[in-house]
Amino acid sequence: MNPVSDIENLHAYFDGELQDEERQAVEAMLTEDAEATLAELSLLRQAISVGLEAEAEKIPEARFEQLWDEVERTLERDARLQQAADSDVSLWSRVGAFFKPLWAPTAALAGVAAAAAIYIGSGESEPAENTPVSVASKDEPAQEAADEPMPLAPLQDDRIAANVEADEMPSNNEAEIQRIEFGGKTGRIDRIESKQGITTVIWIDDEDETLDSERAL
Amino acid sequence: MVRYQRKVYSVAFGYLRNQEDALDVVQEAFIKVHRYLAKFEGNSSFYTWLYRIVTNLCIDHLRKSKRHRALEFDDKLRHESKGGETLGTHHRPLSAMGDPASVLQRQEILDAVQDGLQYLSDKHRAVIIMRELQGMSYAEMATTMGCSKGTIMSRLFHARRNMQKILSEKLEYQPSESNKEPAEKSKKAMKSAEAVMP
Repeated sequence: MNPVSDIENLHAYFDGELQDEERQAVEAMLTEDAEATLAELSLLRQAISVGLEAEAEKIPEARFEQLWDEVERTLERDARLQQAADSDVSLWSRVGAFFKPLWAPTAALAGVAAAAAIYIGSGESEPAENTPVSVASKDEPAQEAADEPMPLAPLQDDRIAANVEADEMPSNNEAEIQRIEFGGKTGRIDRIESKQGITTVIWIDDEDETLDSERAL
Repeated sequence: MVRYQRKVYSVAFGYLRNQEDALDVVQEAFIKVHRYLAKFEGNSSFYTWLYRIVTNLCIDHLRKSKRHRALEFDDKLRHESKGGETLGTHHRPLSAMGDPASVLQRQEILDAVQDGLQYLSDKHRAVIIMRELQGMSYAEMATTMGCSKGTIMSRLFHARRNMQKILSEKLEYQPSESNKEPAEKSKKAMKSAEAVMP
């Protein structure tokens, strides 16, 4: 060991910080000089302690009383602030605070319910593919406004009519259009396309002649 | 708690070396004790807990005030300590003043100790107070100061040694012939150090 670690160990020994083995090693090597150092350290410790206690004795009791008054005032102020903060809380705030943990699950449930309602609502009007019959035709420009709801068959317009089988009417008020008449011709609906409020009915003539007109497009 | 007030004050004064600052810290410490008394878990004694609060407040105060009056002085002495002299054998001003009981009765000696604390760096003074006055272990001191036990050990050794050197000067300790040369070296160090002290 070098002198620095020796003397540091001696200080640690003085402070009772060494393990048994280290302590015994230091004790085995204690010289007269090391013992004198330990005595000096002990005296220094006592002098510091006595000196600081003497310093504390210089403070008059009145100064400490003043200090305690200030401590009490601070604590009373704390208590008043706390009391005021507690009483300022309205009934609704307390109720809100009570139910605060339920807010997130409730919001999630509401969201799910809303989504379900939208889904069910859209499910009821799903056959809109068939119901709003609208023909994109230059011949009938004013026949139907694109965004107006289409009446169910039979249509008011005598040139277009759909045969609705009353006994096949589904219970959810949906109508299934099976045939269509247009301009004195009849035919079966091949498919209906709907895009941006315009519904195009594509149908096949009874005579199996595919219509080659804009009406069919 | 009133019975602790002077003891707590002496600890705070030991750290801060200023009467009003120490009293402010004592007041704040007692307020904290009242506020957090319900949280006191009883793992340590109330006295230890109170001292820990005071110590933390003092260290915070020192950090805020950034007072490093004796830093150069401290570093110079530390350098010299590593210069090869046999550490711990030359500076025994207190034991050289006579019987320990009578030493502790002499006001000029106690005043010299108080002055000596003032010339230490904040860190050295802190370890001295923690160990000598509060009886904290090296591990507790390391936790409080945020450093290793080895650092505490080294710091405490240097702090004590610097304190002894300062006391040698304050008490005009006359070393024996065998210690004369190193003691003169320390006196030279003191003089050069005083040149940088405020």
